[in-house]
Amino acid sequence: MRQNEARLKEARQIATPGDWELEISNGTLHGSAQFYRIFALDPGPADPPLSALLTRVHAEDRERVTERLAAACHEDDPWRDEFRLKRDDGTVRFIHAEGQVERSDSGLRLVAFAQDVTATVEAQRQLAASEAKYRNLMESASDAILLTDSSGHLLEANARAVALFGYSEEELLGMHASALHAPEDRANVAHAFAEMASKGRTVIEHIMLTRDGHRLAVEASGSQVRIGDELFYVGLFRDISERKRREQELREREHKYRTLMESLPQAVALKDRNAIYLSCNLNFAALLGLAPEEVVGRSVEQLHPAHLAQQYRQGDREVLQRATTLVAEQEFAARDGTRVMQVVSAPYRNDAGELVGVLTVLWDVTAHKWAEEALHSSEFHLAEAEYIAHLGSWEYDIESGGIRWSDGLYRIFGLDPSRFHPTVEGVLELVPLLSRQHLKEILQRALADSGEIQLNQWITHTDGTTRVLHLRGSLVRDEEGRPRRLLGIAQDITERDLIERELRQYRDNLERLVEERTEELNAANRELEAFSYSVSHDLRGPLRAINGFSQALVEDCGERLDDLGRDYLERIARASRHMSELIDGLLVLSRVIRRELTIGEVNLSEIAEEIARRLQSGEEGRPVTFRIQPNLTARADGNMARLLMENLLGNAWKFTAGRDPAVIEFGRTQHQGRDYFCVRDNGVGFDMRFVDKLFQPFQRLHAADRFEGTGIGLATVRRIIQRHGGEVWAEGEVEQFAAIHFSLSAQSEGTRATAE
Amino acid sequence: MQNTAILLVEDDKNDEELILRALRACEFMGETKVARDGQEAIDHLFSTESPPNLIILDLKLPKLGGLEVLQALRLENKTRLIPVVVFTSSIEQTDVLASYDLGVNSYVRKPVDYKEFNESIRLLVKYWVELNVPMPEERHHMTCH
Repeated sequence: MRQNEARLKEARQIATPGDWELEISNGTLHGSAQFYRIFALDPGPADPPLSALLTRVHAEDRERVTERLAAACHEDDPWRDEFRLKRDDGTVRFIHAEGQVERSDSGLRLVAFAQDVTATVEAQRQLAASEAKYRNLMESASDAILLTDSSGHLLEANARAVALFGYSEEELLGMHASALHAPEDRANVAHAFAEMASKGRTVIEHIMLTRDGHRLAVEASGSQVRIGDELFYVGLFRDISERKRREQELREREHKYRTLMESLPQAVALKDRNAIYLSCNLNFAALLGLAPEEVVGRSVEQLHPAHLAQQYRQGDREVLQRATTLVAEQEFAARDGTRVMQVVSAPYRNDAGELVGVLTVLWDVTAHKWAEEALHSSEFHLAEAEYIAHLGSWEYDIESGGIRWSDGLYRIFGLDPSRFHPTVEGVLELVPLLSRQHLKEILQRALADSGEIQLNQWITHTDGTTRVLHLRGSLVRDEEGRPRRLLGIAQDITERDLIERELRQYRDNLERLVEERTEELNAANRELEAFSYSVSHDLRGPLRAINGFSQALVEDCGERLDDLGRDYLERIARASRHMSELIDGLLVLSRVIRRELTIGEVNLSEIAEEIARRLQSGEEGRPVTFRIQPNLTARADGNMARLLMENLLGNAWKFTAGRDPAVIEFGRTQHQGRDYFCVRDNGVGFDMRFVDKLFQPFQRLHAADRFEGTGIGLATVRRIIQRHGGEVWAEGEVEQFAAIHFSLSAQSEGTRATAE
Repeated sequence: MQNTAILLVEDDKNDEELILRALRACEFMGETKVARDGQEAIDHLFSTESPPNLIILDLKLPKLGGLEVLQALRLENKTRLIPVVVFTSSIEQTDVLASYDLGVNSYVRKPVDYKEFNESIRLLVKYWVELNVPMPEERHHMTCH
């Protein structure tokens, strides 16, 4: 503070003019204290000479000051000068001095004063510098600058404003600022002025007009300036049309990019160099179950499991390092499970061409992958199957003549797939020389018309063994029916062939054996026939004689025999008759065995009725009731069916002798869901313990003296049924009933019966 | 029934005796001639001036069999209309069919039972000799068995 006061005091002291006089005659100076102070001279005992003053003047100004002083003394003109003093301390002061030559008694003298005007000069100089700076600033500004008075009239405009608005400076000055604003934007401008008035400054974007009517988008910053009592407005206007256009372009580009991204069926994401997502499409976000804005700004580590994030980061690094697009298959932990993605990663550059990120396009190939795996798997299975079956497949492309073999086929030949490449000639060389022509012909025939190949071919395996190959192939035609390819398989059937040969041998042997056996059998049959013939012919002759002559004996010599003798003869006759029946029974049985069946529709009910009538007429008066279900039919040999029914009903008749009333039934029964015929009687029945003996020849369950019979009847029945493919079984109870159930074919005969 | 004759072609002595007994039993009064084999029967029939009213023919015969005899008779004008009854032990279907094929008038199996035997002969004689009326239905009746 004190310093300031001192400086102020000094300034005041210095600014005060100092009076002085110059005695022109002797060149001495008389001055006030202030004069001495200004010129930093010593007010010594004697007056100082002019030269002392002049030495204080700045060397550059000294000559001029000397001349002007001399001129003023001689010309009698007023003297006025401004010059610099150089103080001992090196500082320079600006001095304003004026004087007038006066004449007096004591001679001529210059009366003058001097004033230190350093402060003023400095101030002026500073003002000029400031003015220059302002000008410079105005003119070099990249923005247009306008200055208006409080009413809006333009006071100043810089060069940029001239260039921007297209008016000359002269035209601009005096114009009202509103002329530069687009009419539609005036409200905006008024608002800006209001804001400047209230807040002192404003920044707006608005539209201005150029001299030739073009509209300019500008960013304007304005401020209110008060100088003294006057208000001014200063505005800086920056042309932002280009920026606007760029912004619009950018928006459009962004829109296009966005549209493209969103319309892609794939998931798309953009990451920066640090694997942080910059943007992504909905598909990508949806995979993670997020919205795109939830993805953006997050790193791969934040969005994916650690092991995958590491993998992605590694992939990005590679893309950025090599600056190339990479395609890979990657796992992706989607919200709904792990998926397999086909991923294209491309380096992403900014406008300057710098690598700033990685653009990835992902599409879900999980299903495809599965299909691929399934295909691999089925190919594997096929190869396995080929291996197991000694099978191979081949393909012959007709146009190119190329041949393709499966691995199985190489294996069959013992060839190395990496060394042997099948060609027609090459393949032909693998078959014996003698077969080649034949094979060629078969090929040509297949190509020409048949379209099919099937043959067995000898080949030589690389291990030297001879193999048998079974070849099959067929022609594949295109849509126009032209032959394109022959597709086929080849199977090593060496082992099978061997087995087949052996089998053939066995079969031949067997056939020979069968032939021999058949011949033997035929011979046996012939013998049997001869035997049957002789039984029927030759055995019966003697029986007839025995029977006949025993009776003849009774007739002729009966009176000479006693009762015992006659009884014996009677027994002889009876025995021979029985033997005759046995022989007949055996003959019938053998015929049932040998004779061929003539199958037709047979009405068993009718046959039964007929037999019943005959039985009843043969033994009238017996109280027997037949209950025969009508129209039961079967497919059978008519004669045998009759024989069957005769045996069954005959048995029933026989074993119901003495029953009153006797009931004999023929009908249908069911057993285990199947239908059977049944002959049932309420006769003596039989003991089920001996049921097995029932159908054996010569097995009788009853004493011969009680019931006549040969014991062959049921054996014949069973044989007839067997020959028809049917079944028979018996059930019975002693003295209660006997029932024979039977069918005449494997089919259900009873069902046929009900159907008819 | 004078002036009637039967030719019995039978090699079996027992059967011959039983047949002759049966003929006697049914009071056949005509002549009965016996041939012991087929050849003898043919020779006699082709040479005789008085052909029999009935030939009772066994099938199993020495030299020429009964069927051969039958065939020869039916090919020869002189003998082809003489009634022939096959009287045999066989009921082989082949024998029955072959006999009728060759034009036998009747095929009767020799019963073992004495009474039936006699009855068979009685009916044959009654039918073929005494009534001497051919009955075409006879053939049908026989084939059915």
